Amino acid sequence: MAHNPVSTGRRRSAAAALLAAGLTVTACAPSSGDDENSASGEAAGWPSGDVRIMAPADPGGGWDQTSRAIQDVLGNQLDASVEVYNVGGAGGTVGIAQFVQNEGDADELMTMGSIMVGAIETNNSPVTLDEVTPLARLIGEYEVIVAPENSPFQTIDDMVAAMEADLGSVAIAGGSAGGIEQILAGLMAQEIGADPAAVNYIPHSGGGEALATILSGRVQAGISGINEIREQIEAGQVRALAVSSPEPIEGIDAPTLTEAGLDIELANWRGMVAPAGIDPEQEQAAEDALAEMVESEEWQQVLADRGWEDQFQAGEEFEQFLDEEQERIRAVLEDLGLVGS
Amino acid sequence: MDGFADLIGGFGAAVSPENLLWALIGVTLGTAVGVLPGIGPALTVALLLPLTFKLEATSSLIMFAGIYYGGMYGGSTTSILLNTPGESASIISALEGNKMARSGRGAAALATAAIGSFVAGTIATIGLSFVAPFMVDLALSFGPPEYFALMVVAFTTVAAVLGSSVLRGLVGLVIGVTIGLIGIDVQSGQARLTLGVPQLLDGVDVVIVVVGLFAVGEAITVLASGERRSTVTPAAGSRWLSRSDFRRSWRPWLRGTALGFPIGALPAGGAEIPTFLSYSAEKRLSKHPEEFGHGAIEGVAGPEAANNAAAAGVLVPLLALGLPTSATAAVILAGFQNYGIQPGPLLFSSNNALVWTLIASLYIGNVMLLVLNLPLVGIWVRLLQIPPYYLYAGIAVFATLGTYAIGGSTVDLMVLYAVGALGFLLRAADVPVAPAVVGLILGPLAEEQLRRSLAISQGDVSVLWSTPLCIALLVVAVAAIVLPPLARIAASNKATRSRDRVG
Amino acid sequence: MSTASGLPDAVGSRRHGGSRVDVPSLALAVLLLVMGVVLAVDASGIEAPRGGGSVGPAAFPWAVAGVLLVLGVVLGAVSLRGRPDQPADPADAGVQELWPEAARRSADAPDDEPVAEPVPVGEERPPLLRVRPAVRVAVFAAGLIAHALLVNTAGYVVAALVLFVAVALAFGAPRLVRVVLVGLVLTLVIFYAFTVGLGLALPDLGGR
Repeated sequence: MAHNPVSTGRRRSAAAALLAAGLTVTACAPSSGDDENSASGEAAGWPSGDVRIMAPADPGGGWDQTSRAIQDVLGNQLDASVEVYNVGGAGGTVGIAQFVQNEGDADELMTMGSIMVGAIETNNSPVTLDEVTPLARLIGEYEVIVAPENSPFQTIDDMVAAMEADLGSVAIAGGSAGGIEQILAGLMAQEIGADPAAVNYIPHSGGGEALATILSGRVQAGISGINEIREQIEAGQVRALAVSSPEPIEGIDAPTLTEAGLDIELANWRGMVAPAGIDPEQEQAAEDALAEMVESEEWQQVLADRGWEDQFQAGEEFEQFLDEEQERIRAVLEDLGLVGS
Repeated sequence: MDGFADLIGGFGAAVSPENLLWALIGVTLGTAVGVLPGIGPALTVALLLPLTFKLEATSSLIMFAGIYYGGMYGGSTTSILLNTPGESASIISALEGNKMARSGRGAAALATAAIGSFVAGTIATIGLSFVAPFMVDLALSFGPPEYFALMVVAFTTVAAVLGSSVLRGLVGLVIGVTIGLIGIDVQSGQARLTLGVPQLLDGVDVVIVVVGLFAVGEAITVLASGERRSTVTPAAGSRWLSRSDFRRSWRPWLRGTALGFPIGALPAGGAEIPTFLSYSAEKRLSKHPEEFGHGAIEGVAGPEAANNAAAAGVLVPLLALGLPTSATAAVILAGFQNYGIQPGPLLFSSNNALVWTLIASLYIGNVMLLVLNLPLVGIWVRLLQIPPYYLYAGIAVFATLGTYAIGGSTVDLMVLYAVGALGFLLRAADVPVAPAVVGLILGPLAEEQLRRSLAISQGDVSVLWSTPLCIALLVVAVAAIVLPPLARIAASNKATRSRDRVG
Repeated sequence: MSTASGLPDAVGSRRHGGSRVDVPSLALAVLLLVMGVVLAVDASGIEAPRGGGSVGPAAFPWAVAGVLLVLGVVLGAVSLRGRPDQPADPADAGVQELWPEAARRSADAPDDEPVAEPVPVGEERPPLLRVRPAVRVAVFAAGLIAHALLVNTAGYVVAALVLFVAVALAFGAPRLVRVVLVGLVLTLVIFYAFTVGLGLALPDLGGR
């Protein structure tokens, strides 16, 4: 079992304590010994011990930040310590392969999201999301299609017209191959009746790198998570052409794709799963605890600070969403030629 | 721009006895963790940054600045003394620095590194304060074709680290390029050379390769050589830097800074390329080129300055564009968001007092680092007097700790051991290991930027020389290859002629 | 430079005289050929996605595989011929000499300081483990492997202590008890400094 760098697993009683040297006191109680159902008088008995959250990515990324935010808020709410550990690699497929070994232990949670859904397909992962218990979708972030300052595109209609005329001439920069941005580009091609695989999509290993290429003006358009590029939009370095949300986004002067006549809605969402084979009552209790967390002022503050959108959805509803999402993403990736059909 | 007044304001916020104490603690912790063999600045910052979140914003920033520069500096100390760099940007310092340490000049090597870091850090921080907007314009003019041209320039510097045998140098380089191919291809999403191991899909971490080739490889080499006791030359003289050392160091410091800051500020520039360029430049400009490879002080002074200037340069795109351009920068970005600072184009103009506090803190951290480290030089050098069995046992423990801590997987440990065995074989065959790291870093970047350029141009190769900047860089690359042999021919002609005249 | 560079006995330094087979280089040449073949096989299995750019994901691997094979053949030929004892131009040996001893030979103290003679450091007592270098390398390797196997099962402190003791013995430590004590103190300090101080969750006893 792998362990994390940079976890700040701590009990809340000690959270604020500082040593003179600036070291945090982190009561690292052995987490393995107390798995018997002793703790907490909660009816359904969740959590039965200390909660451990796997962030299936290296420190610093989206899943890591989400996990640590949950750690802070949930740690204060529960009568148990919450520890975060990282198992990075390959869009989360390294993490999930390890996570499923915790079968039946509801105190083990994992953060995941749309990127993992895609990575499981493109990496041909032997372990899939069918082998975990979905708990809840928590947050989401929408995508925005932008044009650099020097781009000929003033509106999304200009871009669509250019793509219809000569698909290859529109170079679109975005994140990793098979990631959410390329999926959005592929969906756009599908909507205008073109071959998604023929889109001139220029992948980058991260949003920051893609942003550099967009700002250099060498591509005609780019796709990015809204928060990553909001400052550049406000500063006028790039023009927002359209957003992938169902409703227009406050502060961004661009229509939704649906308003522009392309029937697409796409969010980069993140959620929480438990291992397979857990007690249904514990599953319900864990979902209730997450629902309670989402209601808290603390969580709402986190969302406001980070620019995350509340997309809470739990239980059956989330399971159904997850099934549909897997289906949709798999279909697009097949059309993109990234997954064998 | 009212930068100066803002900066004064920043100092006003940062300078208080309490904050200076936090700066000292930050510098000490950063140096202490960074100095551990196999634990580089990225991991140091990732480990220590969460500590600063517990403080109020100003103290937190000032402590952070200390950790950032302290981690950078601490990393060079172990490279120089023990030949165990914890990151790719300090392998070049290890080349000459370790030679110096072995011949009893460790104090001079550490001192030129410390002062060079201070000079470079200070100049680069001044650059960050006042020319950040211009640097951003330069950075934004770099698209994929310009990056490819820069990679071509960087590849021409490889000649400087190849060593005496071109064949063996190329072997090292190509082995590095091959390791760089491992993982998911960014442009197509296809897995390459992963041999079915999922942990290899993200490629092999450069830090693991560096620690494996140097620390583990060197340990096996020493063992296999049958040497029971390591012998070091005791530090000669009490002075850190002799007058001639200083004379030979100050130009490399400035040249290293001039290379490090702008390239560090490029979104895909990084800290390694300026150290390669600096080493190559110093070797060519030195009056003592024959000393290179045996402990030339210029070969420590230049790359160390370049490394630290690049560390400040990285903050330019981070603060001015919100672009994290290195693993370390990504950790810092997450840190800023904790204080409600959203780096981006509006950051400087929104006159965010916290930003200027951070910049002021960087100056203070830099001074603090020099004050802390110059007296410590004498203590660090004594590390070499630890019995080798304790020294290597400690190195092994820290090298495995650093590797394990990055990804939390024993697969990474196995990769480390395999690379260590490879490092031993390379040394046994007299193949230099530095080109392998150069190939590992430059190979994937060059491939990526080339293919990206061609994708954007839809296969039109002329995109590679489509802008004045591309052409200028390519001319530099050609000159770097063609000029030295021409100069040598010219020099030998002259020598022949003068001999003829005498005879 | 075989004697001067202190080439390991364990790898077979059959190069005295400059005309014998250079075994380490030959081994490396074989490795290059193997890498070239593996890379070529891997490249032939890469499917370029439809509509990909003009230079696909397999182009670079093919090129690198070709270079590996050529270098492997050339290095193999050179190693069979053997190498001269000294590089053609010793002054130009460059960074190739990462050998510690090489630096000692060329101890270049600055002109205004006296040249210092190397002195041995460490204890005068004989090492506990008196074996051939090859065996010492094996002890070192065993320590590393044991560490990887133990870290997730027996916990960090045990795994790191085993590694510390193995490496120290391989490097000729004279007193076992002292090494174990020093190692225990070091690994405990690391464990608590990193888990309690820095929040790095290293596995504790039992490996979780």
